[in-house]
Amino acid sequence: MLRRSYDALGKFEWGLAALGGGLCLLAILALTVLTVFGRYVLHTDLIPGAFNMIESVLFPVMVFWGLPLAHREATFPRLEILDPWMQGALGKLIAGLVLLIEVCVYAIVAWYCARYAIKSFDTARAVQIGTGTWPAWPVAMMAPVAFGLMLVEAVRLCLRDFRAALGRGA
Amino acid sequence: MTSHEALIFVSAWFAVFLILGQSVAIVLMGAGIAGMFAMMGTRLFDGLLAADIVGAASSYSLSIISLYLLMAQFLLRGRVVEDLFRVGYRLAGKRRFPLGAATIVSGGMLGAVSGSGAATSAALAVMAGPQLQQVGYTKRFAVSLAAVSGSLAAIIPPSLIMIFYGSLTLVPVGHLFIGSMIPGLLCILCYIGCLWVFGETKPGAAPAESEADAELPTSAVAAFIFVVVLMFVIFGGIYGGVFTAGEAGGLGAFTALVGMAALRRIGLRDIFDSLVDSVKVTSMLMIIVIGAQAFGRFLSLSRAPRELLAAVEPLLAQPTVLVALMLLAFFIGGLLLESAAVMVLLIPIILPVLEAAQVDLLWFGVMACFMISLGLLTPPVGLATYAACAAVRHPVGPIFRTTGLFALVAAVVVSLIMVEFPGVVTWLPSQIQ
Amino acid sequence: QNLMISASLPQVHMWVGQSLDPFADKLEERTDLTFTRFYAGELVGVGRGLDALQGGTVDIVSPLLAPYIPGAFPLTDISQLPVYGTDSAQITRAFQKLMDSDVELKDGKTFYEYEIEPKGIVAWGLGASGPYAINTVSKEITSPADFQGLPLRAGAALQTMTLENLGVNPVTMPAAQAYEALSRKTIEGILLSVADWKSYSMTELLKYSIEGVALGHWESYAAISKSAWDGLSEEQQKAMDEVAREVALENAEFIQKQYLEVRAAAEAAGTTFVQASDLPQELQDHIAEASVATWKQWIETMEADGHPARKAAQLWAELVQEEGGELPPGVAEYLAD
Ligand code: NA
Ligand code: NA
Repeated sequence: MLRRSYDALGKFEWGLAALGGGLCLLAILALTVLTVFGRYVLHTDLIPGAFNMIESVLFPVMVFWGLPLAHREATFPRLEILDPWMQGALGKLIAGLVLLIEVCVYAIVAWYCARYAIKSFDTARAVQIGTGTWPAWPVAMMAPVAFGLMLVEAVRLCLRDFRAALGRGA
Repeated sequence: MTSHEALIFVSAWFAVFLILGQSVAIVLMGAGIAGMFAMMGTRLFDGLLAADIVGAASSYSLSIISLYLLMAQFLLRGRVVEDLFRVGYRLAGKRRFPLGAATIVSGGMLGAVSGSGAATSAALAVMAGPQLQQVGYTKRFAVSLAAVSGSLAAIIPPSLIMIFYGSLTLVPVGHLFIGSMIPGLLCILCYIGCLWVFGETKPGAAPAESEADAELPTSAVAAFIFVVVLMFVIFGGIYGGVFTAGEAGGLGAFTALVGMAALRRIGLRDIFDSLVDSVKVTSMLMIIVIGAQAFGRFLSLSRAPRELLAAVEPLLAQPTVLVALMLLAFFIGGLLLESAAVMVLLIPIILPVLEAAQVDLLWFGVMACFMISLGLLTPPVGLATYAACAAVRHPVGPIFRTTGLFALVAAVVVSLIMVEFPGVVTWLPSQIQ
Repeated sequence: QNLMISASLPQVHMWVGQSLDPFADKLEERTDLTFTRFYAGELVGVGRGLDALQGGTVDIVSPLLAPYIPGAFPLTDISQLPVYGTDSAQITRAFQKLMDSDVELKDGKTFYEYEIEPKGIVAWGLGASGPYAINTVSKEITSPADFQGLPLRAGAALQTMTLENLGVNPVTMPAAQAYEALSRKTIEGILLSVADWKSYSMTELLKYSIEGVALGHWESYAAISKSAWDGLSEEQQKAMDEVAREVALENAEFIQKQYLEVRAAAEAAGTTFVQASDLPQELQDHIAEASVATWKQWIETMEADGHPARKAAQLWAELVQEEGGELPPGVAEYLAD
């Protein structure tokens, strides 16, 4: 049951990064090319506010959607020099404690990001796009989603290490 | 806690969790949060933490990273690395030193259309490694040379690390790209010199001195020409003032997409995979920026950058010493940390010093990017070296000896030239339209 | 008593070096308050000042860049409405009067009660920027047709509205890229106050500028969180109120002086400054029409969102005229309806 919901979560994270993030990146590419095309061929600002859209919406959304998958696939760079010594029970215990700190970091960040997103919604915070404004909360909302998903993964890894340290499921 | 106690506490936190293998981004974020908490309790979190995270991710200047990554992805999946090397192989023949040099040059050319080194190193290790061994180099040296050649992607513009520097200092990224062209060429020459001096051959290997017999497929030539065209689009566009570095990334990615698809080298699946990989790598880099943002807030709060400025006050009159010290800091940072992390960590601390000493930020940036990029080759964390070794399943230890040596020589030779003759960095950008 | 004070701009900016610093210096001199100062966004970045005040991150934010927090200060945009013949000092005074005004705009609330109080802060207006002028690198504007499709870098949303009404093609781009874009003619001009040319190194670049018509003035706040304010003694509060007002007016004088310096340097470098009243009548009418359209458009959009923009605009128009400024022909008629 736990296993299956974890796999489902993995699929969801992949979908976010691959479909959502990929589309955002494609949109950034298209906006950039169209802006240059408009400037030199049509002599006009083809998509007013393209720069704002990339900066305030497409790019942050892409980053937040890509984060959980990048985290799950362990692509975050780190020093690996102690890894050979971290295999025993004590090593696993230490690894588990390090992950516990990571869990705390994600929890704190997810919590404050969620408060921020809610506040953005309540106070009708906006981002400027060209001459108009778009609501800010949909973008702000993606930060707690990303860190929440990373929190779940970190908790799983942390439990795994503690189990291994205690000799079960190793 | 006073700010000095907090600084000691946070430094200890940073060192311990970094060594214990926590990812750099989370070490930075955790240390920043712990430091802010130690100094001010939770007072800073509501107003600062989340707004900073969303704010750090809302950056136009960093968004162009994803476009350069995408361009490189299209080219990698279109197997352009292999073709570049194939052309070099054809030109060099089965002669030992020329083939080694051709490997370096094709790494450099690929670097001119790609922003980061690890993937290129891996591809070259697989592709060039066996050929280099055939002409008499040891396996160890062949893999090392592949790593070195691939790492040029970070030194030859365009380079992701320059985009980070530009976004932190507001030096136009296009100027950094153009300014790095001559130093990049110098670095290639330096590596070729190292190849001549340190080249390691198998005992008794007969120096085969014949033309390569392999037929050169037209598709390889097409790929070669395509890369040259792409280089022209990017650098010509920036140099001619036609578009900004960000737009160059977009047009480069678009050109690569259209070209690779037209040459039937990538299909829909490859395009999709390229998008996903670029998103993942961008996110991975951005979490470092986000983490560094939290850490940077703690540093500002502790006033460490200002105290550093006060401490180096006497040195302001001797900018050369100051610059040398700071470059050393970047080199050491590059040894230990991911390049982007070094940049986002160090620049906010030393920028006030650079400004006070009136150091040319373009000149310094090109040198700093160069120093950091050499870290791709050095232990304990040399991503290019790791990638090359992983690709051919070779132990890392012996490879680091050679790649580290190349990096050290380049660090000394090329940076001395840049310090003695700043014109090699600043002249070309001053000619931008 | 120590207060944390933060600026998102560097010390060289007039709203920091000529505003935040004198504000803190004077208060340190006159009271027992001390300030820990953070500059250039090292603690609180652009656009995050309100969050920082409300979250208790810092005690004072100056400048609190209202235009960079879209949606939060709807009525503050009023200073960006096009007006004629104004300078920094006039608008600074008019804005101070607007904040002090007891005219009720909505539900018995004054401008200050509507715009500032609900945010949990206490705020003062800063020295307003100089008039935002239309500046071009080569194209001289002599007829309405010259505006048609002209690529100009725009700033705030309301200014962009005016540009669109003029027929200009407003281009949004980061300020840091504007110099590059102007020098390679990606854009033909920029909306900027003459006093600011120097800090963007554009004194040599811009060759043509229309004077006497302002596409608004930039205005922002110096703000202290309500909780920090309540922690001050009555004496300290009084001193802070006095100093904030005093510094804003001095800042305005400084901006004026800078404007004259930059203008002289630019004129020496060959820039043509044209008085709006010397433009061909057809062009003057076109500018007036566009200006009236902007007032209308802003009021209607804001009213549709439930903000008392009409009453605020009437009050603002009155105060600007009281200070010697003029309204674009047609605005008074529209407001009187
Ligand atoms: Na490169
Ligand atoms: Na390294």
